[in-house]
Formats: sequence, structure tokens, C-alpha cells
Amino acid sequence: MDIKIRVYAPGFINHDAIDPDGFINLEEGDSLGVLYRKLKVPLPLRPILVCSVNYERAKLSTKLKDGDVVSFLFPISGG
Amino acid sequence: MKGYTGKILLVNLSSGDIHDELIPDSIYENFLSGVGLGAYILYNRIPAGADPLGPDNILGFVSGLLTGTPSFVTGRWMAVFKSPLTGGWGDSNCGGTLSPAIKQCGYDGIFFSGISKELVYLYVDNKGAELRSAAHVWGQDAVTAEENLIRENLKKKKPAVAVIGTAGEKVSLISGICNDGGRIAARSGGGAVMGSKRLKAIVLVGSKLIGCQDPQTMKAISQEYASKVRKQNLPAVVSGSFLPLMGKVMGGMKRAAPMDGLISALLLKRWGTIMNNTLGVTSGDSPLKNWGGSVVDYNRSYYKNLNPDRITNVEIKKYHCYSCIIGCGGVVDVSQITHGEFSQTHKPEYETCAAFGGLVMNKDLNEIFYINELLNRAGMDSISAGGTVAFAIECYENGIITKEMTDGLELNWGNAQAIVALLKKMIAREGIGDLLADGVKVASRKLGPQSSLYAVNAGGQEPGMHDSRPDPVLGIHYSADPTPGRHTIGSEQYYDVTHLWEKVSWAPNSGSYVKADENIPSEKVALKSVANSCYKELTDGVGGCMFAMVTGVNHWKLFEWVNAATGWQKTPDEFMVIGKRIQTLRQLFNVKQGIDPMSFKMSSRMAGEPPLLEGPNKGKTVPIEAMMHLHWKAFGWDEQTGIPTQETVTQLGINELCTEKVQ
Repeated sequence: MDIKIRVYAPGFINHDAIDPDGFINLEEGDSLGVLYRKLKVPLPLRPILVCSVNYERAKLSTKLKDGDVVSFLFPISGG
Repeated sequence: MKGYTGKILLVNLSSGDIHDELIPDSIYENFLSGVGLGAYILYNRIPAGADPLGPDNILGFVSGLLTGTPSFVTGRWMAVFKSPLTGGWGDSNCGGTLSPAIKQCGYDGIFFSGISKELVYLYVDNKGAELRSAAHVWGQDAVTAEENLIRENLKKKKPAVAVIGTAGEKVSLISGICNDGGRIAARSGGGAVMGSKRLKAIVLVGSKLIGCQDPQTMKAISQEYASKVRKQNLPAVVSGSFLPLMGKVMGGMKRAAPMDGLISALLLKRWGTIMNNTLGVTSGDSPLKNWGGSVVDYNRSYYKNLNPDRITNVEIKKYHCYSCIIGCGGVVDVSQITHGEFSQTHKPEYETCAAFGGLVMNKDLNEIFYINELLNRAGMDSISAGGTVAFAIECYENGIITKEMTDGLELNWGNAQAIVALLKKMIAREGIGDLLADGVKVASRKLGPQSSLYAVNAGGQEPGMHDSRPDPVLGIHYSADPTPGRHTIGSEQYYDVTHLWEKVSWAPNSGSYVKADENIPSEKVALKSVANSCYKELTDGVGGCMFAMVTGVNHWKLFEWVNAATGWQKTPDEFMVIGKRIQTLRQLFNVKQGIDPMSFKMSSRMAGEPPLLEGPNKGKTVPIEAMMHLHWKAFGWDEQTGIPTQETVTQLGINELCTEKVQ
């Protein structure tokens, strides 16, 4: 069964798999690591990218569920 | 109560008259409070052609509609006035603890007209308000004066104080208004307005309750937001050394996409705004060498000294502004660094670090700490001061300013001791300091046209430490906002994280896009900049902090909070009409004061004319005039002139709401 994940990924990550509304389809039981592969996150970056699932820290082995929000750290400058 | 008090305090400094004025609910429903209320009062009551340093100017201290309610990150206050720096609308924004104190005195705003014969401060408590002599604190720096005024007015509750330093007393056009030991509402020259009125301070000791319609709903929203923010913590293994690499990656990106702004809270919690000290250099965000250099000039041997870890290593405490759960503030121990002259200073903001770091090619962090406290106490805007010093250095380099003129100071790039000495002259208005104390545009006018290339400004205001070349939408706001040169109004980056399109029907969905498209004038880009402007005015109307604004509408729920506080049932689209109305009124203020909106166009260097030859912004240009025209058109203003059209004025009901009619 497909699950739909909202992804906020910076521009240096491949967006081909992300639809215009910011969602990506995975299979039930897929982990954050599978998402990383689908986004083609460069291997050297995988251990150091700061990423959260539903605003909680997550490991690459974390299983994703339908409706989860995956957010990558991206600095906003200002002030 | 509906979040707002429904009342303002009017003080005529010329006559000494002080009285309350009730403000109808309809005004709040159409302009909110904060900057919106301020725009409503000032637009109607400051006559055309008023001297910004004369008795007809009105200086307002306004709180936000949500300040004091069970909302979070809504504790900002604003100073509103006709700006002596730009000649048009002026407002400046600050955190700390002053905003709730205004409402706890029973007012949404306190407005001063006239000029006092004597040196005075205003004291307000639950019983009323009175003008008191400030002769004994006049001439004191802002921090010392605040401490003394708190001590002499301390009864049961610690007073909240807004005060000018010696820069404001000497009517420096780049001076601001301070609170909380050196925080500063810095932009647009508010300190000069206050100094021109011989008003040293306001001292607020009220304790009235601030009510709202539905506190339970507000608390529920707040708890959800707080829960998310609390979970955002940077792993300990991530140090400041990673930031230049992060910046390099950002600067090289060919695509951009909407991001989740909430996650950035973890950087603010760790470092505050200084997280951009080195990241900004490598990404191209930080303007370097008076906007004429790049990371090739301010290379690693320079910027490594501004690693934010070096600053947090001397941080002795963190603090939060009123109602803030992010907590980017801090105090640092500088007793060993400043030879005992100062023991502590507020953790320098990125703006100060950049203005006195890369902008002037300085790599001495200790001098930046010193400059931070020097300017906080003087009440001088560090962005404008840094921009002016950079201008002076470039003029010196090109023989326009001579060593004779500087009393022997060698204004070379990176000469930190000379920079400090120059700042002291500017604060005291001594020698060449008097020429520079009013910013680059005034200084350039006095030095002659050969200096104008180095006077980087928008509408007379020195721009914030964020380069418009990698973010052209920032350039639109620098040039087209009624307060030019402000980096806190909007940018493409801010828009991408607010996610306005998820709630506002006409706000374009950013989606993933080619970064170079930002440099192409288009109606989509114009709609984004308009949406950003409108939403920022709402943020300033409720007392919101920009750092909460950029966590996004799905987290920091401004629309829902305001509805719960007031009992209104407005949709996000209806709120954005309010934002548009506030922005249109600010623009009408400028038109009334004789400003040609196109005259606020930013300096050519900021637009990449000529383009940089090296660094992440190599070759980048901003078609700023075309972008300004499209921005105005999208606002419903005349596309060519930037003047709000009669049709827009009618749609927004401005003539029905205001006593000053647009003909």
C-alpha cells in the first residue's frame, strides 16, 4: 500500500520524486533511509544531514507512516 | 477585552497636555494594533511637509494586538514616526520586555507630539502619566540612564524603560531607541526624533491585566507550537565549524524549494542570529567590503574568527524576549576583552558582526564585542553605523577623505582600532564624526558627487547585512517598502518558509524552482513579494517576531490566534486585506510627505551594477526597476509611480476609515 509523505528538502537534494505540492509516495513500511535513497541524497551527506520526522529527531531506520512530515534543516538568515 | 485595550495615550510635549483617547473597534479590525495602529494615527495627524525633527512629527511607541495574550513570540514593540533619515514613513522594531509594559499601562500606544522646553521623561503607572525632569540623566548612555531610571522609580514592580543614548541626544539620524540594557529599535532614525523632542525616556510601571475573548483556544495553539519548538535541538556534535560548508552548499544551489522554517529554530536556539556569521560569508548572503567584495577577499583567514562558537564560548546566560519560546538572546562576558571598560554586553547580533566584520574587512572579534556595547550604549544603529564606516573607508581609500580630515586616523580596511576611534567621533559628533553621524547619504551630499558610488543605501537608509544579489526579492523590499533598506520585511527565502499559499488563496505556491528564475521579473515573483509584505504588516500589527513568522503559518498560527483573541471570524484572505491596507497606508504616508517612491531604489552596487567578478554572487544582477514596477502593480498601486490608485484606496476603504482623504 502506498503512503504519502510530506517532504521539505533543500534545493541541493533531488526533487524529481517530490510532487509540486511537496509530497512523495513510498510503500508502507519504508524507512527514512528509503526516502533518502529515493531523494538520491549523496551518501557522504546522509550521516550529517539534520532531519526530523514530525518534528522529532529520527534515525535512518525510523519507519514512516502515511501523513508523516519529513523536514531537513535549512538555515534562514536574518536579524 | 479583545487583545487590544482600545485606548492610546497622547502627550503634547510643547504644552504639557496629556490625555487618553479611545480608539473605535473598527480601527483595530481594519488596521490591527502595532504598526497598523501607528500608521492610522500618524497618517491622519502628521501634516504634509512636517519637519521630522520639528514639533509636528509624532513619535509613537506601540504594542502588538497579541502582546500579553496567551500567544507565543508576540512580544515585539515598535517605534513609529516620520523618519528624518528617509523623509518618509519610519518604524523600527524591537523585542525585550517593553511591549507588554505598554499595554499593562492600559494603552495600545503612547504618542508624543511637540517639543519639550525642558529635558523630560514620561512616567506612567496605573494611576496615570506625568512628565518628569530628565536633566539628571541627560548625557548618560542608554544603559546607565536606564539603570538610574529604574532605580529611582522602583517600587513594587520593576519599570520597563525605553531610552535614548547620547547619539539620539545629539540627533544623529542613525540613532535608535533602546530598552532592556542595550537592545535597540534601531532603524529609520527614531532616536533622533526622540532627541529632537528633548524626550530622554519613557518609564512604564503599569500592571493592568490584558484580556482576550478565548484564552483556552489560544493556549491550545500555543502549547502545540511550544511542543514543536522545544523538540528542535541541534545535536551536540554539530559545531560552528560546519556552518561555512553549509553556506557554501547553499550558495551553490541551482534550485530552491519551500522549506520547513520550524527546523531553523534549532540554529537560533543554539547560537542566535550569529549562526549566519560565517555561513553568510560563504553563501553570498553577507555583503563584504562595502558591497564590493566577496569571500575571495574576506576569506577563511578572516571569517574563521567570527565562528559563532567563539561568541557562545563567552556567553554567560541565554535569555528569551517576552513570550518567546525560541530564545535567541544572550549575554556575553567581555570583561577580559574590553580591558574592563565593559563587563558584559548583549550577545552581538549577526547584523553587528557582519557590519563590523566583513563589511569593513575586520577580523578582530574582540573589537566587535567592544563596538557592540559602545553602540548599544550610545543608542546608534549598528547596521547604519557599519555602512557609514565602510563608506568612509572607501572614501579614504580613494582620497575623498584625507588623514587631515580624520585627525590622523588611518581608515584602512580592517583597521579595527581606527574604526573604533571613528565611531567614538560619530557618537560625539566630533570632527569628521559630525559629517558621518547622519549616515551615508547626508555624508555623501557634503563630500560631493565623487563619493556617491560608495554611499550604499536605499532611500537614504543603509541596508541590512543581507545581499540582494542572491535573493532579488529582498531587493524588492529594500527598494519598494515604505521603509527602504530594511532586511526584515521579506525575501524569497522568507516567503518559501512562511508557506502562505497553504492558507491564503492568492499566494503563489513556490514549489521547487530554478534559482535563477528569481532574477527574472514576473507576476509570480511580484505576487510573492506582495504576499510577504502583507503578512509582515500583520506580524508587526500583532507584535510578532520575524523569527516566529518564518517558522510558517502552519506552526505559528497568527490568523487563528487573532480570531481567538478578538472573537473575529476572519479568513486568512480577509486578514491579508488588512495587511494590504496597512502597507498601502504606509505608502500613502510617503506620498503625502512628498516622497517619489522610485527614489527609494537601492544603490546600483546592491543590484550588481557592475556585477561582482568573484565569489558566489559573481555575475549576479537584479533587474530592480522592473521588479519594483511589477510589485507595485501587484499591490494595486500605479505601476509606474508606485502611488496607490484611487481604485485600491476605495477597495480598502481607506477614505471611510481615515480623516485624511486621498483625493
